[in-house]
Amino acid sequence: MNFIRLWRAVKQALIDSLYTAPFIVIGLLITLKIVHHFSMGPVIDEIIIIVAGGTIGHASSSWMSRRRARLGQDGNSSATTPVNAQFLFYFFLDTPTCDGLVGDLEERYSIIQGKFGTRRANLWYWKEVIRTVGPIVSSWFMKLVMRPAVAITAWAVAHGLLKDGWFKELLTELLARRKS
Amino acid sequence: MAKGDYLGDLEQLILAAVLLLGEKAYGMTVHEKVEEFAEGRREVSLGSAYTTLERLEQKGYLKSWFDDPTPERGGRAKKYFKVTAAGDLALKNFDKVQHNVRTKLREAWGEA
Repeated sequence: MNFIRLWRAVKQALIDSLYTAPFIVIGLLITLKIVHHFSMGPVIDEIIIIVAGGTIGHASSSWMSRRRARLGQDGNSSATTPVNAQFLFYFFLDTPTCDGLVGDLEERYSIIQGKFGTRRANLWYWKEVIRTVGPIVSSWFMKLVMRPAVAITAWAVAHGLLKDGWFKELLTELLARRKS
Repeated sequence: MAKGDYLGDLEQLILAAVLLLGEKAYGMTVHEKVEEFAEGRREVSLGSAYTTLERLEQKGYLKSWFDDPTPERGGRAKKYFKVTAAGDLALKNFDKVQHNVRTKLREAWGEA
């Protein structure tokens, strides 16, 4: 029994290492690069590297423990969705509409979770969030960016800048880039 | 039909879905209905459905209201939609145009 527990702990540690190791390596590489660039003597450099390594390791392991806490003992999560989609949509939608959309996503998520399990529900949720972000961002862009663009173009036409001037140069450059 | 009354492809589908769903028309059910109409021939994301619903509301073809928040939606309210008189008229016009197109196409294909 104890052997099984030990094996589970080792297995969990190995899985955790697989997740956290890339973060630790990348973090240490960045730290080494910075230390190499702003070298303050060998002793201080070593201290910085050790502290940075420890901090990155601690941050990664606490991230893993939060992840494990979110997942249940058997790997099934609670009704919480894998990504806080509201944060993604908040920027591009007004609050009530955003709440409606995120609520719809969560409602469908809990249905799929009940039928097919957490993994498939998570997969569906990620896919749907990625598919959903595109149209919302493009609609936001059309609303907020296209109107001023049309206004500026109209203003430029009114001032005769399309025939000769910086606006003509800008448009020519943009069109040339689009063609290439 | 006035020039501004033109409905896009997805707008037609969504307006029809809202009309058919009646009291139950909110984001998720509308999206499901549109997928049912499309029968896998067209991929529509929930985001596209929402932006189209918003656009139709701005055009005055739909009106919306919020229900009480529910726990299964993480305490978030449902946004319900209803077709307005202008939306109903736009759908009728669309139906007439579609009927004419269908008739002519069937004639052309020899199915009439």
